[in-house]
Amino acid sequence: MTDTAFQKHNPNKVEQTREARGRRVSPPVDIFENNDGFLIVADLPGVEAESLSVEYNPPELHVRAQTPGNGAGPVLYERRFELGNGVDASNIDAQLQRGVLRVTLKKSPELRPRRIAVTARS
Amino acid sequence: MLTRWNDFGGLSRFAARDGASFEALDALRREMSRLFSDLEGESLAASREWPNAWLDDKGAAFELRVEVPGVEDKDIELQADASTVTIRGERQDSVPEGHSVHRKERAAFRFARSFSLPTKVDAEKVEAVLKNGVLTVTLPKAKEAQPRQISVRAGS
Repeated sequence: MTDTAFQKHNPNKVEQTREARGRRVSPPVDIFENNDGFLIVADLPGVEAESLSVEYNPPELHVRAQTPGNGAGPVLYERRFELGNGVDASNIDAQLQRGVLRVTLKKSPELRPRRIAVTARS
Repeated sequence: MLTRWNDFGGLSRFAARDGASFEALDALRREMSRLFSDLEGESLAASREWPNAWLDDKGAAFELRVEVPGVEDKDIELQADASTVTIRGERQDSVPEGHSVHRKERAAFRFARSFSLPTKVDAEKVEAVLKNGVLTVTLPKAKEAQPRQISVRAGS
């Protein structure tokens, strides 16, 4: 909203910002890891599945949800994660339940820790 | 810390000298006011406490919305009488087994918030719905507190 105000009064500064309504909120997240992959958990109260977008453009995971908000006007929840290139892009699962998003990402097979057999020599 | 934008009423004194530039500045001021009032919302209770909650007067009833992501209905306790509504609850939280933690910003929590209602409500008719991590409580106003249309007679 401030962009519109400044644009009108500074016609020479033409800078289009990404279309977003309301205030931007960076949701609190937990990030867990195990041998198989990652689990990202984010609080997104009031968000419906239709307005939620979870995109993986390696190496970045982009979570975005535009919602009417719960009392103080529209809200844009947004957060990005640097995941590196070891994530299997075809194996990402996202679940939204009780206003909590859980994204499960699997590591590419090459990146999973491999048990190496140790041969004993005497 | 966000503070309310102050009305630059004093600027009008400079309008006579340079009307054109004042108009631009005043338009900017109005847009900034709108930006800040959007942030604060139009509700009776701004949410400066936690969990975030908003109490709105919907005419025939009050509507209380509380953000409780991840909380189950069994973990919420809601109490209402004619003039107060209290919500208590907790969220369980844990690190999934076998995982290491890269980042932990969400937490298990316990909360309790009380709201005084500006007019009496009918506690027997209170309803609550938990959806998408938001608890919406509808508190119908007591019969005598319902808004009433007043017809205006023309005097002579």
